[in-house]
Amino acid sequence: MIHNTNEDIFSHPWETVVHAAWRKYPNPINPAVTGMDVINRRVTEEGVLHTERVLETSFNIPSWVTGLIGLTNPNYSHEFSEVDRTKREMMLKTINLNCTNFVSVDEKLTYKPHPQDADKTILEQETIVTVRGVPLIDYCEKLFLSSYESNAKKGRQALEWVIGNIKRDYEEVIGLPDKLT
Amino acid sequence: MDRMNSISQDCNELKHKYDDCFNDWFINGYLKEKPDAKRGANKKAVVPCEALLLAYQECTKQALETKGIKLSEVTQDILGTDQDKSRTHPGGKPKN
Repeated sequence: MIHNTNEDIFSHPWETVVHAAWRKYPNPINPAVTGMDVINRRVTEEGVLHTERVLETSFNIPSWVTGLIGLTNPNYSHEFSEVDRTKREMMLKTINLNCTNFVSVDEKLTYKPHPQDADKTILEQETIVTVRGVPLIDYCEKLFLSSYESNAKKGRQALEWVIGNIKRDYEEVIGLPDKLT
Repeated sequence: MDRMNSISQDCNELKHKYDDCFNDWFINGYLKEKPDAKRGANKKAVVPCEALLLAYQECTKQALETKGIKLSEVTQDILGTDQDKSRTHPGGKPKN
């Protein structure tokens, strides 16, 4: 099992980042995500937005490895998320739905305002990769983790790309530059 | 901006209608509404864009099953219930 944590800071307010997070895909920086559906969504009695989605992705790893560990392409993941506007926190947890006998990839993302600077947002990321019952377990785990780390880096750029687009949309529609920032 | 597709092409139109409604509600409703402004004594769970979501869910349910995506193991209709609050996400602990 490999456990990895990572922290990143966006120079945008929490509302902007969270809005962009819902609209992150499709994204040229991370084209691996090819489909996405909302399965359930509601605001709880406490005012927290709960969402379940299914994501369709293609792993960027060699085909001989996918064959070896029985991974399929496309791969499907389940995501559970909570947006709490009172605490100003967005949390997303993702797990793989395919091949759970061979590999599990658990990922948790949390977006919250920077405690010292309201114009910034902190992203905390936690990934746990467990591969079992196949040859070269260490190799496979490292491969998965590096694939996820590369996606995490792309994820940041991907979100910045969406934020740029949303701002442009607003400028075009409302004609108020920087309204969102 | 380009639009994200549904996992099933047949559900794209329903998905896009729902996504439009949700994005508008999220940015102009949910984030702007003062917490507890409309809640208070009558606390109740709310489904934003409910009619559009139901139509969209109906479409994708069949499609996901056809693709062999077994959601029953990870998702149950327990969102917002007491069970939900005590629930650990299936991915939250290592599987045996």
